[in-house]
Amino acid sequence: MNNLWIKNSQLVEFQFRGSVDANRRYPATDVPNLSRNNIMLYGFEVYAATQVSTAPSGNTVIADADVDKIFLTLRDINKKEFVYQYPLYNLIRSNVGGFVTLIKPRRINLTDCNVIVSDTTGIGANEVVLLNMFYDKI
Amino acid sequence: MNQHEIIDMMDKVPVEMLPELYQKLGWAGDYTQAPGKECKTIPVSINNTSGLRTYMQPDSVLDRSVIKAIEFIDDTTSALNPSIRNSSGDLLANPSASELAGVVFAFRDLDQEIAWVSAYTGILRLNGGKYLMTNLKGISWQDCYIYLTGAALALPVVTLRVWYDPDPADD
Repeated sequence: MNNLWIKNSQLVEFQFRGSVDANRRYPATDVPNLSRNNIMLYGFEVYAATQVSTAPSGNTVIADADVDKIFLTLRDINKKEFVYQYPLYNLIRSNVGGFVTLIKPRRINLTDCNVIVSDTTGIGANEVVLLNMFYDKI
Repeated sequence: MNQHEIIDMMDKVPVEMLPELYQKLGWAGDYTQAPGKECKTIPVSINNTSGLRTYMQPDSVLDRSVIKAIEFIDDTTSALNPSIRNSSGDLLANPSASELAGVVFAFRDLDQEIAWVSAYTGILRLNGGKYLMTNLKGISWQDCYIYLTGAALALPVVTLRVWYDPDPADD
């Protein structure tokens, strides 16, 4: 029975810039390492403040109490939303028995990926959703 | 095999065969057994100031190995680290799980960071007993580092355990 192996990974932030509004899309912060190279995404997981309290960038990571209000959408280079409004709670490995989400590999367009919030209560401006993207270079 | 060939192949492979294919590609593996052939516990005396990095000590065996998993030891798993002592000679306590939320580990090769992990997700007991599994080759262990992104720890130590498959020449 399998679980994900990390071959390469990159931390990606989705920042709630300015005011936090319900149903507004907050895109991923561009990461040149992912944009420039030929990479294939094959898995990902989310960190809330219990897993990573502060991102390496210095930004505050969202509280665990807020993960049930946030949904992730990923788009590939063909503009296809192959992961659409996935609840963040299920992407935190300690919530799901230690399993990490594996997907059919995709080349993604990072800044087309986004999160939305259904309820803004408690989410602070400039906090981030922190995603660890697992990829391979081919 | 290039990206397009892999993506094309994935579309043709039946879903039930994907786990086997992912194993062949090195993206997934069996979590029900020990992740590597050998393991070592590494207590690290850290730069205990928020925002600072602590680099690992050189380890030529790990440099030549495939790193298969990393585990972080909190004070519930093991109250004391195995070797780092205070000035009175007492072993220092390991950090709590909530303290380890302020710790991120970066794996590097000679050029750049190639993978990041949260120390909290490396605590076995809090993640369904499943190891934080990796498949990392070409690591330069002395260039890997602990990054204290959160507040300073109560005590300046982080204990980690690395599972690896050694180079056959080292076996």
